[in-house]
Amino acid sequence: MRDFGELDCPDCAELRRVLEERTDGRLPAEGCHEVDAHLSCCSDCREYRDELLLIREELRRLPLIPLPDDVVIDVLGQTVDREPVVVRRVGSLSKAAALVLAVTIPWLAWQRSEVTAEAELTRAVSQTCYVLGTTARALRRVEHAAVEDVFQKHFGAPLNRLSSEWLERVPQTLRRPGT
Amino acid sequence: MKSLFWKSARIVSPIAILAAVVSVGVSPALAGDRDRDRHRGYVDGSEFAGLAEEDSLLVEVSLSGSLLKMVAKAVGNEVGEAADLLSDIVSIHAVVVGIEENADRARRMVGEMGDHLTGSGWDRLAQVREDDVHVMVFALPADDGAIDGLTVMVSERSEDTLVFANIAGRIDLELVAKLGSGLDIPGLEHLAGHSLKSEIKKHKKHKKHKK
Repeated sequence: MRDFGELDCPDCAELRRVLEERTDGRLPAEGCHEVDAHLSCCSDCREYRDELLLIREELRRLPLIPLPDDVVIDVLGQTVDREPVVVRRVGSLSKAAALVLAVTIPWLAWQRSEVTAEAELTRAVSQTCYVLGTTARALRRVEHAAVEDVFQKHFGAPLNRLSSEWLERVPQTLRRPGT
Repeated sequence: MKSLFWKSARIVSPIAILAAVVSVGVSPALAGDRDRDRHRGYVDGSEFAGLAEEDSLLVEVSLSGSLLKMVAKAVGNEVGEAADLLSDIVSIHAVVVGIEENADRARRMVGEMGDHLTGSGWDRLAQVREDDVHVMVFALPADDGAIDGLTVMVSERSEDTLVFANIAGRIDLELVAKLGSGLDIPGLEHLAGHSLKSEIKKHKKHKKHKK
């Protein structure tokens, strides 16, 4: 069989592009005239056409072998019975979205509750510190007042008999009024 | 008959599940409140909140149950002794209120609360009047000589505030005085985050600035 790969003539190249349409009877009448005119004067293209017709004839002679049933079913399953691609994509997207939501919503809720719990704990610690601090200060004040009272009662009079030099060293709160 | 059963089951079961979920979530909080209310050392000071005017300072603290346990755990990680103290406390309740407009009413209410406490078996540990500060400390003695509750009322005329604080539970007074020195429990600054003390101070400053 001759190799028709490389062509120098642009008309030949154009003809071989449309030759199959011509032999199939799909080329408009005007095109058919042009092709026939070129074939009448170009032996290479005629030879190319003859080769093409020969191959076609040989192919037609090949025996028909029926496809096994399972192959037919498989092919039909993958073509005719197949869901439209868009629907399938939407279906898989919705599944993915549902999965993401199923994971994200509890996670967000958990995160939120964690943050809330942490904020609540921080506030509770602050409040505890405040109440304990206030109570402690009150207790200290009471203790101080009690000590002062005892001091006044038992040591007030002797302290007041101290000389002025020593009295200066006694805290103001422990002195009797007027001393 | 069978279908009627399933129909009613279908209607009732979501309600039952919802009720179960809600009760599971709410029951620990309610249990904490019940424990607190039942404890003999608990005193409700929420009536003092009524002294607050529209833009007066008002802070209410109410800690009990699982939240208090969590505080004890958090504080205990920093200061072990604090955990010892808090682990025996059932509730911490306080009201901090601005009494600019209601100083006389506040004084009367403090007096009434003092009378109520002493009439209910509380001991008045001390009452101190110093300059513009009036401090009253009450303790509820337990049968074994310990203290079951501590109530402190502090009114400061210069600050125009009244603090009512009640701690219910087994209380070690020495530990309270030791731990709470000046409210700044060492190591708790970062735990406490924004401090309630600073919040109150800010409010007072804002109030003075307004005047």
